[in-house]
Amino acid sequence: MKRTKFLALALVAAIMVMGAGYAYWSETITISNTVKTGELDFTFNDAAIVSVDEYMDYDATSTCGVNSDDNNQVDIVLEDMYPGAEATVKFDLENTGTMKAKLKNFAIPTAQENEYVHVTSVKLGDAELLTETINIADLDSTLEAQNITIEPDAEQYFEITFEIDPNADEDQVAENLGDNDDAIEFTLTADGLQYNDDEN
Amino acid sequence: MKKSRVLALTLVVAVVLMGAGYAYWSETLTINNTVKTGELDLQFDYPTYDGDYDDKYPYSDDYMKVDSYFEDEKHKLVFELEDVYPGGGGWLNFKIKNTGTVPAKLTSITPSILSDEANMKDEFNYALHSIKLYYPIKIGQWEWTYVIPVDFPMYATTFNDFVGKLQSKLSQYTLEPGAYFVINAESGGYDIQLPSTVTSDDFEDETFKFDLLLNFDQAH
Repeated sequence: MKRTKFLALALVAAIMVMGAGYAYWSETITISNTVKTGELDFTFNDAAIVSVDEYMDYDATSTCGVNSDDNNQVDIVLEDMYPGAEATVKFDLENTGTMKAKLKNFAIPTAQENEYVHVTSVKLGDAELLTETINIADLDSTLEAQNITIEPDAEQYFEITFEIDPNADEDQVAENLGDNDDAIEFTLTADGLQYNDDEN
Repeated sequence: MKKSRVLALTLVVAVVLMGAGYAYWSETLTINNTVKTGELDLQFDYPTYDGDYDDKYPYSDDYMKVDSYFEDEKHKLVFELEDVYPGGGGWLNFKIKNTGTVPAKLTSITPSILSDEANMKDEFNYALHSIKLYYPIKIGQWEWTYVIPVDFPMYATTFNDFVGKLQSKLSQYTLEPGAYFVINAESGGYDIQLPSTVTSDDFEDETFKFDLLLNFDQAH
């Protein structure tokens, strides 16, 4: 009897040591996912003065360039303008993002709308948009109406000609503006949006 | 008398020396055993399809890239989306087949997040548009494929919810040998989308990489 019990115990111990129990086969398969997001990004390039009238730029100090701290901004400074003088600037806007983008919500603050500052020419690429001279206050709506879109890695060329009203007198456009921080200033802004953004 | 005893003793010794005793015929029978085991094997299988889309401009999908392919002898399915933007996403149609000899059942899905520096996992919308179970049945000389629609479109707005629902749906059924799940739909399949409500620049040019480990056990 003792021998039988011992044998049974030995068998149980052996099974336990073997690690047997109730086990089943298993297998794992994997779905490996990588999602990389794109970006919405613009850069101004090649901003420059194209031409100024004969008596502007006495000291050749008019400038048009990309802001050194913000490549989403172009700074234009026109020196020695006078009634009837014109100055033409140009710049490229490049879509450095990964999707088509559009420009919307062009705006010039109302306080900066000077009725004696005109725009005589606006070119997008080779296309002239104006058939007549407009006031600076209408530049934003003129550009807005173009529904400008830019494909990724593509550029849009802009060329704008500014003019001081030829009929402005000294009370309307004073001489030596800018010497005392009283230069005529205006800021044209726009939103760069994803092409599929219909809500902004 | 002594002579008889000596003779008997001699006979006994002789018999003992001959090795005889009490002997019977004998024969050996053999049971020759060969045990070959089957296998538990699940694989992704053809066909797979992938695509990208914009929720407002379904055909304007030139700005994203999508790719899918097998690795590890079809034990891994790789799904890659690139340049996804708010409102855009990608989809994947695929098949999981029991290519083994024993039935199998999904017991769990283990997510493994490999890269998510911008903490985007819960910014995406996830969807499963259709899951169907196919299994072949043979009647006489004919083979039929029986389709069980497993579920309707399912949506999840968090990563964990997506994993939980995928596990819940796939684990309901046993995959018999030769049977397969198809995650497929006309308008997508297994979808990952960045919703148009995402406005933060923090999610531009970022990577979210994760594995889903589908753990199957032999069904019993």
